[in-house]
Amino acid sequence: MYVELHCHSAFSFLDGTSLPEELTLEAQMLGYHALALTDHNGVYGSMAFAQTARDIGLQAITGAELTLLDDSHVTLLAETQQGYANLCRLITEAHLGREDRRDPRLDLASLEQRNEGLVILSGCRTGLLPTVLLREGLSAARRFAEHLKESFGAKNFFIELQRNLVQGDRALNYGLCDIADTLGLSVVATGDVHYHTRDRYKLQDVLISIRNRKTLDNSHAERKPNSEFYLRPPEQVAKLFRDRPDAIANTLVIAERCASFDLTRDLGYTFPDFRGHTLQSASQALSELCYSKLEELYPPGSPHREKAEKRVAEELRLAEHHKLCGFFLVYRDLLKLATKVAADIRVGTRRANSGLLPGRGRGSSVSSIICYFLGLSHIDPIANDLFLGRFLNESLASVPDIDLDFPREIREELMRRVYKHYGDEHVGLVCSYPTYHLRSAVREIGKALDLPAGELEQLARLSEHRSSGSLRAGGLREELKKIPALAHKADAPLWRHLCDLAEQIAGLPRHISQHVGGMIISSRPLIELTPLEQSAMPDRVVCQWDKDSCDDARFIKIDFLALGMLSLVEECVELIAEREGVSPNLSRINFEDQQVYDTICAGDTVGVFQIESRAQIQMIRRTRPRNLEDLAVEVAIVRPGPIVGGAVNPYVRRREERRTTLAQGLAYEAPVDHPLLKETLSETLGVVLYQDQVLQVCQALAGFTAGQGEALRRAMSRRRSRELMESFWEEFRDGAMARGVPDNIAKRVFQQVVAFSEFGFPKSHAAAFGLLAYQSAWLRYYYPVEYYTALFNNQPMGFYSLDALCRDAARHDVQVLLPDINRSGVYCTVEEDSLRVGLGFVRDWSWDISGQVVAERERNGHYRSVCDFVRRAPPKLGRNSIEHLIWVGGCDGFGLNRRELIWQVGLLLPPKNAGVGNARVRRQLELPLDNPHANVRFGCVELDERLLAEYQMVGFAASGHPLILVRDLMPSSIVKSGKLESLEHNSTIDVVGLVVARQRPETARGVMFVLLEDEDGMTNVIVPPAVYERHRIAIRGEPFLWVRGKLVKDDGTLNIVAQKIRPLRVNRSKAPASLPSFKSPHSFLKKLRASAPPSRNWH
Amino acid sequence: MVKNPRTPIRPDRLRPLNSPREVALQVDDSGHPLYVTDTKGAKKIEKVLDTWRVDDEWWRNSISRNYYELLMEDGSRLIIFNDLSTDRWFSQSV
Repeated sequence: MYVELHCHSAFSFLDGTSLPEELTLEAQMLGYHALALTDHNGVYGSMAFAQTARDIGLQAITGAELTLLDDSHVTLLAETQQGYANLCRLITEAHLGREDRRDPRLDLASLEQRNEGLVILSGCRTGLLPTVLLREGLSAARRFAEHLKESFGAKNFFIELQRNLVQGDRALNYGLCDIADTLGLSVVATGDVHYHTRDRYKLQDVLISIRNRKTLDNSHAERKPNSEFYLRPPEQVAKLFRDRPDAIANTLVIAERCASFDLTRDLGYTFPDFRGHTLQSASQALSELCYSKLEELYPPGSPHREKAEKRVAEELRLAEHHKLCGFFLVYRDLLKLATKVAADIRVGTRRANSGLLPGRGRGSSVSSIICYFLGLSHIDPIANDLFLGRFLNESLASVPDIDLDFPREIREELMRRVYKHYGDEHVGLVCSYPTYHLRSAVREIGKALDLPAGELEQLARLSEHRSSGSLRAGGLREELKKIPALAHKADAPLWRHLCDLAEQIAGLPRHISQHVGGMIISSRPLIELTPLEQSAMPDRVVCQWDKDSCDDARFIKIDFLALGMLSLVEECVELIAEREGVSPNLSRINFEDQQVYDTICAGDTVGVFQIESRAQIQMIRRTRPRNLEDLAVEVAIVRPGPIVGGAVNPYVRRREERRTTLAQGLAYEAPVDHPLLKETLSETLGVVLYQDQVLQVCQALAGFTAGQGEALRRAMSRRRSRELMESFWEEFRDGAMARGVPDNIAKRVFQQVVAFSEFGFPKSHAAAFGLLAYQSAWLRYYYPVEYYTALFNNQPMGFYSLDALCRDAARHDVQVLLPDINRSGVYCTVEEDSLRVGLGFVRDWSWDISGQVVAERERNGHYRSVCDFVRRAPPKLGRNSIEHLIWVGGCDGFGLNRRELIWQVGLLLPPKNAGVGNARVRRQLELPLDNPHANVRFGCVELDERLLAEYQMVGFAASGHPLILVRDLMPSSIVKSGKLESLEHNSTIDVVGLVVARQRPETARGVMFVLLEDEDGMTNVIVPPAVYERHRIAIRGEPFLWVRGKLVKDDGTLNIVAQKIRPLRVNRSKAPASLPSFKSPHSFLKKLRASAPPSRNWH
Repeated sequence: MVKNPRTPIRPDRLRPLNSPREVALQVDDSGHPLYVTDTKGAKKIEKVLDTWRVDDEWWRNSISRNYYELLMEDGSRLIIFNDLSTDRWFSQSV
C-alpha cells in the first residue's frame, strides 16, 4: 500500500530518536513490506538496519539525506550496486571536502555528475526544490525543477510530498504538485520520519535543543512543530494522500526498483591479495615460509616438533580451505612495514639494537602457529598449549581478527604509511558510536530542560557511574531520591521529565568517534563500500561503520592498537641504555626470576602492566603466581567473564589445595562438573577461565559442531552478546542430554558459558599480556627510577593517578623532584637516583612552551635570575604560568624565597587582570629608585602551603602525604595502614585516608570498593550495600574519608569491611605547628578538599 | 517611538492579548467543518485554507492542538483550534 522512503534513525545524530532495530520492528508490526533509511549525511546505521530487516523479512532500502552547500537537503536512494557506490562517494565528498568536519555539505554539481543508480527525491520542507519554491516563488522553482529533470532524468527524479500537519504544508504541496504536473515529473509521498512511535517526540525536542546548545524554551525555531514525524501506519498515510494516489503508488514503484540492491549481499568487498615477487601462489608461498620457520624454531628432535608439524599442517589446510593464505601474507607485509617504521623511529637511539619488536600480537591470533611463524605473535602456541578454534576453525563464517599492539609513536607512523601504501581511497579506520552514559544524559537533558546547573552536577556526580543503557526503568528517579538535597525534587515535573528522558536516551548514539585501532583495507576503493569522513584527530579518516557493521560486511579489520605499556617499555629501555650504555634485551631476561615473583606475590605491583589494579592486587596475594603461566591466569581471572561465571573462588581454593597436596607428595585432580569436561578444564582446575574454553566446553559437553561453535564465537563478541548467547540454551541442553548429561549440570555449565558474554580473555591473549606484565615487573624491580620516569611520561595509563604513583615511587626509594627551571626537561627525566618532573607537567605549561624554554636554556645557558628568566622566556609564557612554576619551587635555585620571587615577577610583568589577557607584555622595567618596598621581608612558604601548591600546580604532592600534617590532630585510635598487619583478624578499627579509587563493579552485587591511602600505603575498604546506601554522599563526594570497620585477614589479603563512613574532620579549633599557614585545621582541610586530585572511579 | 505616559504600572490592568475564545464547531458526517458559533452567532465556513498541528511546551503545560485556518462566508479569515487534551474548540484572530 505504501512504503516509507524518508526515514531517520538515531544515526541522524541528535535528531532521530529511534534505533534502526526499533524502526524495522515497528515497520513490520504496522505491515510495511519495505522501508528506507535515509540518515543525515551518512549510512552509519544502514548495515545494522539491513541485517535486522533481512532477519524479519523486510526489504531494507539504503539511502541518505544529504545537505547541499546552500543548506538544503536532498534524499538519495540506492537502486543498484553502482548507485550505492556513488552514494558512498558523494557522502565522502560532502565530509572530506569541508574545512569544518562537523558541517558536511555537498555541491549539487557533484550530484549532477555522479547519480547513476540513484533515485533522487526532492527533499523535505528544507529540500532543494521546496527551498527554492519558498524563497524564490513558483516560476523560479519550476525552472529549477526543469534543470534537475534534465540533470537526473525524469525517471530518476521524484518530487517529494510530505504532510506532517505543519503550517504551510498545504500551499507547499500545492506548489510542488503544480511543478510536477507541469513538467511531467512524478511525485512521491514521504513521511520525514524521525521516531518510530509518537511518544518519542519529546526526546526529539530535547535532542534538537542539545544539538543547538539551547534550552527547550529557546529552541522553538529549531524544534519540529508537532509530534507527527513518527512512522505512521501505511493506511493512514494513504488516507492523507487520497487526493494524490500516484504519490502513494510511486513509493511502491521506487521500492521495487531498489529491491535489486541488498546491502547485506551486494557490497563486493575484497581484501588486497598477496602479490609476491615470484609467480608462486599465495598458498605455496605461505607453506614454504611456514616450513622453513618450522625447521628454525622447532628443529628435528626438539620437544614440540611433532605437535608443531601437525599444527602447521592443520593450519595451512584451514588457511587454504578458507582462502586465507593471501590474507596471512598481506599481514606479513604489514608487519614488514611496521618493522621498517620501528627501525626508522628508533634509528639513532640507544634502544635501536635492544631487540625490541616493532609490535606484539594480542587476542586469539596469538594461538596460531602461522602467526607465530610470520612474526605476528611472539608466544609459542605449542609450548603454551594454545587452543586454535577461537581463531581458526572449519566453519569460520568471517575472517579472523589479528590484533597487533604497537608503541604509540610507531602506531601513528605505521597508520600514515599504510595510507600511503594502499592509497587514501582504500583505507579507513573503523568508527565507534559513543552512547549516552547516565552522567552525560543528566547533564545534557537537564540543561535542555533549564534545570539548575549546580543541582544537575550534584546529581551527575553522586549518581552511580554507568552506561545509560544499563539504566533500569525508574532508576534515575531512585538515584535522585537517595540524594538528600535533591530527594524532594523526584516528583517535580521537570525532574520527572529528566528521569523519563534519561531512560529513553539509553543506548542512542551521540556522535561518531574512532575505534581504538581497527583499520579496514580494501582492494576495491573503500569509499565505494562505506563513506569516509574526517576523524576528530587530524590526518585520520574513519569509515562510517562500527566494528559490528564491518563484521557484518565481512570486512577484514586490522587492529593496530596503541598500547601505552609498550611505549613505556621503549622509553624505559632507552633510559636504561643512557645510564648503563647498554640496553637490556627483554626477550632474553630471566623469566623465572623468583625475586620478581616475590614482589608480585606481595601485591607490590602498582604501575605494572595488567596486574596493578585494586582487584588484581587482592587476587595476586591469593593466587601467588610463580611463573609465566600463572601470570597468564592472573591476567585473565579478574575479568567479568570468570567472575560472573563463579570461577574465581573455586579456582583460588583448588590452587591452594593443589599446592598443599603436591607438597605432601600426592597427586591432585581438580573436580569438574562432569567427566566430559575433564580434559578441557583440568588445566584451569575445573573452571572456565578463558574465552576459548567456552567453545571447548560446548564441544565436549553438548557436542557442538564447528558451525555451532563459530556462531557462538561470533555471538560472544557482539553487542547484546548476553541475549545472543542465551539463545543457544536449547541447542546446548539437547546436545548435553544426548550425551547423558543431567539437566541441572547442563544448566550450571551453561551459566558459566553465558557468563562469557561479559568480557573475558582468550588464553592466547592472556599469555601475551602475562609476558608483558612480567617484563614490566622486571623493569620496575631492577630499574625503578627509569621505570617510574617512563611511567610518569606515558600518562594517562593504568589504574592510579599521578599522586598515588608519586608516593608509590617514594616507597620504592625513588625520590620525585619537583620541576626546576634549570634542571628539568620538557618531560620527566632521570637525575641520579631520582625522578625530575618535567616543565610540561606544570599547570598552564604546554609541551610546546616547555620545549621553547628548555631550548633557550640549551642555547644560551642557564637562567641566572628570575629577571633573566622572564626576559628570555617565550612571550606566550604568561605571568600565571611563571607563578605556578615558582609555587612548586621551580625557581628556588635563584636563591630567593618563593614569595619574593613572585613579588619580583609582579614587578616585571603586568598584573593578571591588567586588560592584556594572560599574555606576557614586555615593557620597560622601572628604575629601582626610592622603591618604598625595597626592604619588605617575605616569609617562606611552609610545608602546608607547599603541599597545597603542589596539588594545585602539578596535580600531585611530591613533598609527602597530606595526612602527615593533620595526623597529630586525630585520635590515637586511628590506625595507620602499616600497622594493620599486626592487628587481630576481626578487630574493629578506625582508619582515615585519601580516596585513590572507587569501584563498584556490576559483578559485585552492590558492594563498593574504596582504595584509601595514608602515609604508609593503601588499604582496601569493602563497603557493603547497606553501608553504601547510608553514607553514599560521603563515599562518592569526599576526597578524604574516615572509616570504621572490621579488619578481615584472609588468605594473605587485608581488607576493612566498613560499618560507618564519614568525611574526614578534625575537631580542634586552633591549628597546630604543622599548619602554620592556616588559622584552623578546618580551613586547611577545606582547602585540601578543593585541591586534592579527583579519585579514579572505575566500574 | 511610544511616548512614556508617565503613569504607574498597574499589574491589575494587564491583560493577555489575542487570548483564545471558546467556540462551537459544527461538522458534517465526514468531520468536515461547516459552521463556527461564537457569542455573536454561527458563521458559515466557506473553505479550509490550511490545517496544522502543534505539540509543544510539554515540559511546562503541555499544548496539543489541531489548527484550522478558515475562509468564512463573509470573506473574513479565522483561525480556530481544537485543544486535544480537552476536546474543546477555540478561535484565535488571524
